[in-house]
Amino acid sequence: MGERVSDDNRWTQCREIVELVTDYLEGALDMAARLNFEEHLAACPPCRDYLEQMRRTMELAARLGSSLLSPAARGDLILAFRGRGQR
Amino acid sequence: MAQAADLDDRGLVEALCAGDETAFASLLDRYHGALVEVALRDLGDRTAADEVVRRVWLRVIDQIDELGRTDGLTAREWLARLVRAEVRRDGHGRAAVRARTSDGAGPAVDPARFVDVPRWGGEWAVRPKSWHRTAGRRLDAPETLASVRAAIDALGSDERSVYVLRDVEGRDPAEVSALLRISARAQRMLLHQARAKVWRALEIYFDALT
Repeated sequence: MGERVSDDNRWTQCREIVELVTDYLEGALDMAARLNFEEHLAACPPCRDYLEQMRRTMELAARLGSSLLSPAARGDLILAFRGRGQR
Repeated sequence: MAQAADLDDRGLVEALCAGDETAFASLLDRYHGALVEVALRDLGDRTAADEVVRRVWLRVIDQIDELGRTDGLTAREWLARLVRAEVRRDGHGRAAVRARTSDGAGPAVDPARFVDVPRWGGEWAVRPKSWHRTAGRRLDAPETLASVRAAIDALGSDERSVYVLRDVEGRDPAEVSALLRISARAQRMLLHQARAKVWRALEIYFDALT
């Protein structure tokens, strides 16, 4: 409890580290867990790659944008708004 | 136009009460996608969700005179409530078969990606491949975005709702928790599973390009 994981053990953690990525990005890790996460990343290229790719994935997702309402459907609803009370 | 788009939630409701068409258009642009996700999560069917939300907008138009009585409710809360009511009206049968998947239990990244021997266990056995080398300029290509879209469509409805609202629409965590009525922790767990799946789909996609 509360013991720092030794450097010899850092490679044992990749499997756990990837499961903490979202908590890390969301700022949901406490200070100790965050430091441990960042220490691991500093020494572990594949986990750094994973985090970087996760960020890239998020950027790509953001680029999709929400395009659910077609211009035609939007136009119909605006027309319905204009015609309210007349129906 | 710009004025209504800049109004906050409560201001939009007030403008809508006054019959402001641009306020209605702003509500459409701001919330339609989110409301479809709210409906989709319960209905599990896109066409049905689209129809439910379309009916909600028509209901909004009919009920504008009652809007003054939404005291305390933000537009978001009021709209999400209308969607749930419409889903209940529409989807009793279908709600039972909705495709609820992962509740967040279990690892998001395939354990087979990691070495599984005592003492050395846990290290990457199959490392993430560099996307820069394998994908080159195709990282932003339309086909890449299409593969992201396909991965999102393959998510279970709970994961999908959270993922779309957070990572596609960029809504903040508190708003998403309120819209979907889930805890911050549940949201993080669903987001984590969803992000790992979309990442994996991209990895497969880029790998196939090499």
